[in-house]
Amino acid sequence: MKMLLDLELRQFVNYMKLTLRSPKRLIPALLMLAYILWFFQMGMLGSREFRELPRGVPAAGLAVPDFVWPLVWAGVFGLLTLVLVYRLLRAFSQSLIVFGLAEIDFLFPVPISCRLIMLFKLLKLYVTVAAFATFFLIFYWLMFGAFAGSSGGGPSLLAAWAAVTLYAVLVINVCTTVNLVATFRAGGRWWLAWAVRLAAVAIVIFSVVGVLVGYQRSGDIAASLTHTLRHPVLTTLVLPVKWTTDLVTSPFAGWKPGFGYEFAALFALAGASLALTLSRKENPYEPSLNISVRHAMYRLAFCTWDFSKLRAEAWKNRRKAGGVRTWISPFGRGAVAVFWKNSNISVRTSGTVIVLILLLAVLLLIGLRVAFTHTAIPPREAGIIAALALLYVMWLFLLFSLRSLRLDVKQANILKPMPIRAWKLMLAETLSGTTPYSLFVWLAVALVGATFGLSGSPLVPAAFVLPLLAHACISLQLAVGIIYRDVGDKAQQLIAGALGMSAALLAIGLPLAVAIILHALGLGFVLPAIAASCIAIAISAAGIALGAEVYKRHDPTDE
Amino acid sequence: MLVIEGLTKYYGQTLAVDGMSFEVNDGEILGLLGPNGAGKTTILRSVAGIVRPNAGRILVNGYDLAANEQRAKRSLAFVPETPNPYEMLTVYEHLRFIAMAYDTLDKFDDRASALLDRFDLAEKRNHLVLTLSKGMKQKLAAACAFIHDARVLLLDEPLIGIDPKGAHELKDMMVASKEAGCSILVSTHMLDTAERLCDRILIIDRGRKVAEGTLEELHGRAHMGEDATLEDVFLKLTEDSAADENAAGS
Repeated sequence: MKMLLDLELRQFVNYMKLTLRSPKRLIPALLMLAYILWFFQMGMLGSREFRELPRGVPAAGLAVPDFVWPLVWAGVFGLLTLVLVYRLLRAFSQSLIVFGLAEIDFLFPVPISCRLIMLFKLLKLYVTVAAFATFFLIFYWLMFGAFAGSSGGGPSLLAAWAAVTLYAVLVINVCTTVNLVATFRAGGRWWLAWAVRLAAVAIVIFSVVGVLVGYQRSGDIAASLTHTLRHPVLTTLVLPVKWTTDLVTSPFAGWKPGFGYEFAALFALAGASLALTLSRKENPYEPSLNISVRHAMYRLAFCTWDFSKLRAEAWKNRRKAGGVRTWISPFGRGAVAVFWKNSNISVRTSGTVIVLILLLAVLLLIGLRVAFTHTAIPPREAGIIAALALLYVMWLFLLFSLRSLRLDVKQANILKPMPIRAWKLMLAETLSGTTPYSLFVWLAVALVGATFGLSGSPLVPAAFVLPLLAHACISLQLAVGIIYRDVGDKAQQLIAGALGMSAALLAIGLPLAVAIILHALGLGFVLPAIAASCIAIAISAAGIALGAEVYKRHDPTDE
Repeated sequence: MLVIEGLTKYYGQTLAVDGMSFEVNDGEILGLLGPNGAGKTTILRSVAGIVRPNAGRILVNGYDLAANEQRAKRSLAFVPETPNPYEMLTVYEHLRFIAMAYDTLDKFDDRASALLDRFDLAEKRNHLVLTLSKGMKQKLAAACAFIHDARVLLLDEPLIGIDPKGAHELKDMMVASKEAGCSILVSTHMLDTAERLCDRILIIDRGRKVAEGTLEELHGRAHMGEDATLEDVFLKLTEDSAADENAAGS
């Protein structure tokens, strides 16, 4: 244990030293610290405001209506139950304990008992949970301290903190045990796995049905919710959740004599569950092997904001499962083939498709909202709102397309030797980003048109202008994308982001400003749209020419 | 000495290693060859105690890995295929951690300095592992394997990514360990290296043993002349094995 502590301590000290020496790490750390301080400052402000409130309910200390506390209890109970159900269902496929790749390579083979390593890993997880609980305890103490104090809440607050920690310990232990058993006995005792799954699902179904039936009878959603979640069947099924909820809400709802026993029982259960986990004979390392690789991939993806590998992995897994077929075959020559390849990747890796579907759903919602109120909003104004919504959507698309562009340029050692003229390649790269957005705009305009009609609506000219604006925007960012192509380098990320944003503002802002001025001069929608389109085309041409020149001089091996 | 008897390993429903048995004698280097997905890494990970076999027995220096895990592991050293050392430790701290884990801190500084010199890592001694290149990480993993007195060395593709000098040093150290009586099991795709370095070769495919023996014995098994290289023999034997498997399947 001493050696493992030494390992952790050395890593922590080195991490702190590295953070202090590197501005790249120090600045985000300081920002995070400032955010935490602000968070606590808000808590203190909240505390002052609460102190000035009249004391209406002496027993609880807070001046809140009577119906609030049962609702708070139900909310906490529901949340804790959901955590338990979700973690239990996930435990069959994923362990809560994730060993790092370094631990697999260098800790697992050394002669240290795997029980000890497991215990150390569990303790680390408990400490993390306790730290989070402490963070919120301090915040709530700052915020509600005066009131909790008036109801003898000091000890209650500590009990609440301990209860949350013990509950988390219990969930961690139970889920780790379930994961160990499920990993090694997938074939045997299948009924046990199904029993746990069914119990978890039954809790959710019981709660939902109970609330719905109660609401139908009484017409009071709050009453039916509290009644269902306090039902003896449910509270008995998840007794530790009830104990935790009682203790967590005790600082504000008041301490009752039975809570001491509940605390003791929760403590005993947490200890027993740890003993159960450590008594398992299965190899605790094995469930972690694949997860650790995936975990490392996720970490890298979030650090670099490059999700292509994750998407490719997901695609591979789906193909293995036989869920998706490769249905787009290669097409075209030269730059057209590059464009087709990019489109193919977008469809295959599904990221763009998901974004498309989500955005379509948002737009449909906006459309429905307008449909419900279209008697109040004239079609012209509805069209302007929809056009602005589409402009906003463009921003979201640009985030993805610029990233794809930079990742593609990173493969320049493959692209550059190809007999394709630089400007054609740049055009293909730009069109790869513009095409999904253009299709989306046209689909959205068609949907809105089918619902409301497009006569006199600014959406028709917008359907032409917006894709051209997106094209101009991406074109102008080509040079930035080529020069600062490394998505893994945070400094390059920062510069590319700032320059890209400026380029995008210029590409969108200039044509739009001209269009708005012309529209304000009473020229309607069509003429300003034509002017904006012309400017966008000119910007696109300039962007592609600039991008092509930079690309010609760019050395793909110079990293 | 390393003895493996009837090693079987399933990942879920997938059979990765099927009843594998072989031995690595004291003072011997056994080359483990096989196509991708043949089960080489699973065998090495099973011996290293990272994964637990579903059946079979592993004896490391006379100790049963299942019954006496810590004693067995004390005699082992493992170099993983793509090492991921602790990034927030310095090179020196990493070596020290491994030495502590094996409880061999006696004369640690001397041994660590010698190893760092041999692998050209002396300058990086106080640098964080985070700052090392892929090849340097591979060298560090190799240095970790030699920091304690292992009697059984397991090396999974140890030469991939290492510069020629580092590779030369590592091969020298493997030979020196062999001469000192260590048993070495090395998995590799570099057939020319295996040909020169290994005393015996074990070829596996789809989790099963295809052939085992000295290069001469493998020539005989493949019905090939002595002028045939290990590459020729390997290709012939794995193709024959695949054909047999397909014939049995149909």
